[in-house]
Amino acid sequence: MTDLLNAVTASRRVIGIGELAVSGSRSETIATHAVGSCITVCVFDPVAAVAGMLHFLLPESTINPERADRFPAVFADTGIPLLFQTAYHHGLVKQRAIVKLIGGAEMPQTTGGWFNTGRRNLLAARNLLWRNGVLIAAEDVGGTDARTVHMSVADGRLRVFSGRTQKEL
Amino acid sequence: MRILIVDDSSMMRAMIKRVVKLTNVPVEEILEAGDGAQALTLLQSHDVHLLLTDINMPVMDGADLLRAVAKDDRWRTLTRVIITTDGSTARREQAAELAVRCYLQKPFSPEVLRDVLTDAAHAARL
Amino acid sequence: MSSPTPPMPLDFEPADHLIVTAVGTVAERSFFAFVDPYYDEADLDDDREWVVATVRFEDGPLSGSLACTVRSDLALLLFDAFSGRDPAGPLPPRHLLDDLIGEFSNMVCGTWLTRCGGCRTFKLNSPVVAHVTRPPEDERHRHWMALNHRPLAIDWDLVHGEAQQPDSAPW
Repeated sequence: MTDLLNAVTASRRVIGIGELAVSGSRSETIATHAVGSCITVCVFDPVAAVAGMLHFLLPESTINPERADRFPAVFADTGIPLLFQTAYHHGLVKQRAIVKLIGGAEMPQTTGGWFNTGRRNLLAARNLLWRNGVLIAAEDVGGTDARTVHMSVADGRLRVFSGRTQKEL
Repeated sequence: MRILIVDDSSMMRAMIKRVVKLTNVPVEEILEAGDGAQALTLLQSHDVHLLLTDINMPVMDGADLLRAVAKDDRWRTLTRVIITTDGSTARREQAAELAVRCYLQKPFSPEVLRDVLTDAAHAARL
Repeated sequence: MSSPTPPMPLDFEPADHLIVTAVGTVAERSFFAFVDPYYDEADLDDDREWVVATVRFEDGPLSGSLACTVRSDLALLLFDAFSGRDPAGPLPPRHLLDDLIGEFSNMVCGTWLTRCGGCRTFKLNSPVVAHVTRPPEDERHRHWMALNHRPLAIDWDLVHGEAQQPDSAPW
C-alpha cells in the first residue's frame, strides 16, 4: 500500500531542449533526455529545498536574438540568468546554491564535421557562472555519448545515465 | 584565518581574492603583496596562516621568499602554496623540499583553486 | 677542469605546435574562451587599437621571448572573463587591462615552456605591454588564431642552451 502511495504521490517533470523547470515540491523529480552537446545546469538550495534544471542548446544568443526573446532557455547567456531568477522566486538563495553541470559531449554533425559545440557550451556555462559569483560543485561533461539526467527535488541528488552506465553526482 | 597572496599581477591577486570569498573557508583578513620582499614585511608584522605565492616576481621572487620562510622558526607552521606557470619537474621537486603543501600550476579554473584553498585552509587550522 | 656537459637531447613536440595547445589550455581554463586555429587576415584592417604583451625569458637553459597581440575588443573580453566583470559596467582602467593581458601572455609563455622544455626550468621576466594601432611587423615565428572569433597573434623565438648541471638547483 505504501509503495502504491509513493508511486502516486511522486511525480516526474520532464523538460526538453531549450527548456527549464524549477520546483519546491519534495516528491518531484525533474528530468531531461538527449543531453548531447547541450549542457544541463542543475541548481539546488538544501535549506529552501528548491531545485532547478535548465537544458540549453547553444552558447550565445547574439546569433539569433529573436529566438532568444521567445525561447531564452535555448541559449546559455539568457537561459542561465533566467534559471536563477526563477529559482530566486521559489526561495533559492545564491550563496547556498549547489550547481552542477552535465553534458557538453562532442557529437559528430550530420555533415560529418565536428564544431566543438559541446566544449563551447561548457565554456559559456562556466563563464556565466563565474561572472555571477557561482562556483561549480560537480560536473559530468565531455565524452561522445548523450546523457539523461534525473534530479531529485527533495535532496538535489542527480542520477546521470549514459549508454549502459549510471552515476550519481 | 589570515591569508597572504603574493603575485606581481594585481589582476591575479584579485582573482584569487574573489575565489577565497566565494569559497566556504573562514577568513579574517586577506593581505596582498606584489613581490617577495613586501611579503616578508607583511609576514613579520601579521600573524599569517596561509601563504599563496607566485614564483616569477621582481625584487624578490617566490623561491627566495620560500627559502626565507623555511629558515625562520616563526613560520614553521605557516601553510605554503605555490601558484605558478612553471610546471617543470625540477621546480616541483624543489618545492617539495621546501615544505610546500600544494603546487598549483597556472592556468587553473576557479574550482581547482577553491579545492586547493579548502585543503590548505584545513591544514592551516590543524 | 671538468668537461662541459653536452646539451640534453630534447624529446618534445615541435615548439610551434605547442604554442597553439598552450593558448588553448590557458584560454579554456582561465578565460573560458575557445581557440580556433585560423583567422582571416582580411578582417584585421580597422581602426581598433591592439595590445601587445611581451614576455622574455633569458636566465636558464631556455631563452627567447613570446608576445601576444590582441585587438582591443578581445582584450576587454579576456578581462571580463578572468575578473568576472559585468560587461555592462564601467570600463576597467588601462593599467588593469595591461596587467591582465600581461598575465595572459605570462601564462601562455609558461605553459608553452613547460611543455617545450620537459624537466627544464625557466625564469620569466615581467611582461612588457604596449598599445599599437596595428599588429607590428615581426621577425619571429608568428601564429594567427581566433579566440572566441577574435584575432590573436603569437610571436615567439626560442633558443635551447646547454643542459643544466644535475646538481645545480634552480632554487
